[in-house]
Amino acid sequence: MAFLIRRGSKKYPYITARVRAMKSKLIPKEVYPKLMNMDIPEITRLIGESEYKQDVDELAQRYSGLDLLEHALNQNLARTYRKLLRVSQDEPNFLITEYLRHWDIWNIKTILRGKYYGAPAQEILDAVVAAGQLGYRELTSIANMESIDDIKTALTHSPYYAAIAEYEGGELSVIENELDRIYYSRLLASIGKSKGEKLSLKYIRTEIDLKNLKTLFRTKKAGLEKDEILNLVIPGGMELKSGDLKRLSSLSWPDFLKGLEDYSYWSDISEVVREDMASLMDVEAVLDKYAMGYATRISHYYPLSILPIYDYMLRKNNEINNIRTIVRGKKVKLPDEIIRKHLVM
Amino acid sequence: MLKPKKVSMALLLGNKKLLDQAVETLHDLNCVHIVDFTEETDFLSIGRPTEVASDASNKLIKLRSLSNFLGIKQKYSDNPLNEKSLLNEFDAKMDELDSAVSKLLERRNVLENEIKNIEIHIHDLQPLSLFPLNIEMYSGYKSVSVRAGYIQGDHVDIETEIKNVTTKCDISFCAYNKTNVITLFSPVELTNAISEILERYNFSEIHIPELTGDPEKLLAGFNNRKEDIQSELESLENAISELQTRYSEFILASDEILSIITQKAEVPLRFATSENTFIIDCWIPDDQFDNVAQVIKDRFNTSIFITKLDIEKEEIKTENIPVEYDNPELVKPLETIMDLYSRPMYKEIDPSTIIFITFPLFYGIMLGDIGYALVLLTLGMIGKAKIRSEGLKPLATLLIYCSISTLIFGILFAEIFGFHLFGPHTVVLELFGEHSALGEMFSNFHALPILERLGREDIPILLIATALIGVLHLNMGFLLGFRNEVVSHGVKVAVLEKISWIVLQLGIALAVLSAFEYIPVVGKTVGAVVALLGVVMLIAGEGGAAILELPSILSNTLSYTRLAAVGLSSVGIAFAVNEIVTGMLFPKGGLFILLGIIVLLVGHTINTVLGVVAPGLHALRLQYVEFFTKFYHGGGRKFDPFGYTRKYTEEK
Amino acid sequence: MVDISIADATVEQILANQKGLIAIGAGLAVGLSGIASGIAEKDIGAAAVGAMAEREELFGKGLILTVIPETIVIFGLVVAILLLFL
Repeated sequence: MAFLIRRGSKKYPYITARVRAMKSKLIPKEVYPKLMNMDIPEITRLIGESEYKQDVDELAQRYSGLDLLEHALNQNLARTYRKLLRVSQDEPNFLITEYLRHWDIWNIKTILRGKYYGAPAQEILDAVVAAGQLGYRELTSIANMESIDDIKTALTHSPYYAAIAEYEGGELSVIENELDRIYYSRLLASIGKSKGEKLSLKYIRTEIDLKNLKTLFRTKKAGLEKDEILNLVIPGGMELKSGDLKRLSSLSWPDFLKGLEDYSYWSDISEVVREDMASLMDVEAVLDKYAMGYATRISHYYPLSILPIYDYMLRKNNEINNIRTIVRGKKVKLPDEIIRKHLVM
Repeated sequence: MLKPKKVSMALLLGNKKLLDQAVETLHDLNCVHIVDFTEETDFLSIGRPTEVASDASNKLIKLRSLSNFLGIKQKYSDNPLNEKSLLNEFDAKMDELDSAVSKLLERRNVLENEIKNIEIHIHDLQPLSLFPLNIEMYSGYKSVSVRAGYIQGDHVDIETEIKNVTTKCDISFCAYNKTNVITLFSPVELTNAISEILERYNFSEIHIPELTGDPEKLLAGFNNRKEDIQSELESLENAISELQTRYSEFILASDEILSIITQKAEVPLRFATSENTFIIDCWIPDDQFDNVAQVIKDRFNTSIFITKLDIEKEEIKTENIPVEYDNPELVKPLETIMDLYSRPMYKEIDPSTIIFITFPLFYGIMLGDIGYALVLLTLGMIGKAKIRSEGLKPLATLLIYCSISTLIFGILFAEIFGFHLFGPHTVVLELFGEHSALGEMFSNFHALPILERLGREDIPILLIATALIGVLHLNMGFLLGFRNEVVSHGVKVAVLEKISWIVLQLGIALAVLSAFEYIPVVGKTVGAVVALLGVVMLIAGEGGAAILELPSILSNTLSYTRLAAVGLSSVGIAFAVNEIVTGMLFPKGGLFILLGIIVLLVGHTINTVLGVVAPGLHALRLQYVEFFTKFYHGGGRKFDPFGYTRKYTEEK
Repeated sequence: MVDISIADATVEQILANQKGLIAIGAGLAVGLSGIASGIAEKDIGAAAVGAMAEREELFGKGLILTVIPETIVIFGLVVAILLLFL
């Protein structure tokens, strides 16, 4: 009898059903063309009539216009993720916590980048999303620090200190890559061997592949050398094992593109990959879309697992990115076709 | 009655210049369901909102934010405000409200910050007040380092350890909140050595506040200030709730008006527009189409063109046709039950009228008690009179239907609060005495109960009767399913998928009847052949997997025995309560009578609650799970006319 | 312990014994089927509550899905009643 009772104790039924219901409340894709025809206050009001109500209502006391909308989007994202943590237990809770640590990475990157460009603390805080282990208060105090050394001291106890220990200001791309590598290696290390945890690896290792593909495209296009590239890629991918990464990074640009044909991702990116492409925007958009599609697909195979939750987290983030793309595009008066191209649906 | 309201598809086409007026007209009509235009082409694109949308949205954002802050709740208003005058004074009132709120908010923030600081001070001062020193004595030395903090462990140990390092120091201890507080004055150069010792005893430092004076006096001062602030905060809360009552009507009414404005201004987002024209794709109830066409013709002559489209010819998917119920007033409360499951599709049977009969029927069979019926009837009546929410009102009506049915079955079962109504040992006899006229009448009345649930003889009959009700109900489902399939997939599929089940049951019935020798032995063979025919038809209709479905006919039928079982459990509880009270408590007399009455009240209250919940859920389940799965798909779209039902305002 | 061997038992004792066994059987039928439907409903119920927490209108569907396994206990109850009364 006991085994019957224990089997459900991973607490997936509740959280996955809830997440599915949350997913059904995301903005459907038919609405985006309408948003594009609306003004910023109208968009704010419209999203404030649904899932963003609490954020818009609260923040409207302090902000207005585009500021209000941007803050509402950020706060909502953080709130949604924290809600996932609050309503989950056991294994799903652990896996969500680990996965959400990438917002710590994001926030550290944002703060350092902000400092590098001399942005005021308030502007930096506009871009942070307090969904990871670093709370909004901590982030506020870090963002208000003037010197890199202070920031480093504040982060001494964080697991990412190793990446920034040597940083003295200046170029950030190396640090950003190092942060990603630490994040993923810690993530892979923390995930255990249970059935549910293995399923989470299925997605995370694909995500690493996609990240590496982006890095490869970028570095290959820029003509970096093999060793430099290998320093930037993240080990632990699903299809692109370290041997594959070594081989691909040593190839010339045309051979590299040919080499990709051996991997399952090719069928999705082949349409946009050209030897003479000017920008990598299309490729990256396709890869992002692939990540979302992949998460949705495998979440159907394993409905009672972490995968539907990953799927939701990606889609929620994407929704917010889409709205942000629309409003920022509108602000600088970009033509509709260009904005539409940037939307991932 | 059994079908949703008939709607026709219409197309409105006109010059863009008339768009605003067209929107006004449609909004006033409040009976046109607009279909969102989504597939943009080179010539047709989604329309743009009119200019007022932006401004109204801004106002709404502000308004809703204030409403959220004040905690305004939806309520029912008896005197709607005038739209025009409200709009005229809107800006002024908004400014007034906004400044009032921001003043309160600012003051509250200041006070909350101060109280936080005070609490920190109080937290630090409380342990220090145990020592005789003034606060300023703890700081400002050049060669002496002062430490104060919480520490765990025996103070004698600590003291000796420190004294081992140096004797030139002053240590005091005080017990505080289950820990020890230590203050320590020592030479500056020994700070590190002493820190090490302290660390070992889990020293946690108390921050010495930058204040002067006697800590106890300071503490008293802070506590006084804290109380002042708390009372001021309270008065701020009062001010907020005062604002809430004062502005509640204004906020609700303005929200309504602005919502209507934005609704109208943004509706072009649902239209297709070309350079000069707009096209509205919509659904109109069939009986109102002529009226709508007439109004359009009167207002716009021929400059807006309206035409009815043929549903069949346009190849509209049924799931896209909006569905409006078309039921008599009496049946309407059951629509809530339908919506709880799913609205019917346009071409489906709408079973509201059927569950209007069967839902209360099942409920009544299960509860079947005069006493509970009267309680529920009263509750239902009160609910119907008091409840104003559109969502809950139907439920009160439903409760009345169910209690009437419960009353009827209560009479048939002759039960009142789990007591026999007639025969010996009944409530009536207990109350009026055996030899009173009433007592004799009730004890000698033998026509009722028709079925006795309190005894054991009738139970098997009850079980069989409920299973038979199940057979009838299920077959009604199959017949309705037959009709739905004929409409959607043709006669052949309908016969194979639905009639096959009836054939199968016939076969089983024949076999069973002959097995019990009600009909000649040949029946067995005939029955088997007929049942097999049913199975063959089913496999032809739904494929081999249908074999797995076969046992469901048995389990579904048996499922209806819950009508008896749930009823018996309810009777059982009532009976048990009564037995405890009349059999065990009352005979003891004295205080036990009082206790008995309490047990009686509590027991029957609990049973009444269970009596609403359990039969309700089970009656619902028999509809949804056993009945609906035989014919019902649902998933129809709600007919949602463009318009607004005003609650807080009026136009003129 | 009262020592009862079948040979010594009176007819009344044997009947009472059988009655007791029937009652135990009925109890087992209700109890075990109750546990079974409880186990089956546990995850469905959790999922239904999760979905309802986000979208109240799923109440109807959640309710239906949750009570489906409870047919098991109804069968148990029917079996028990048949045992006791037939």
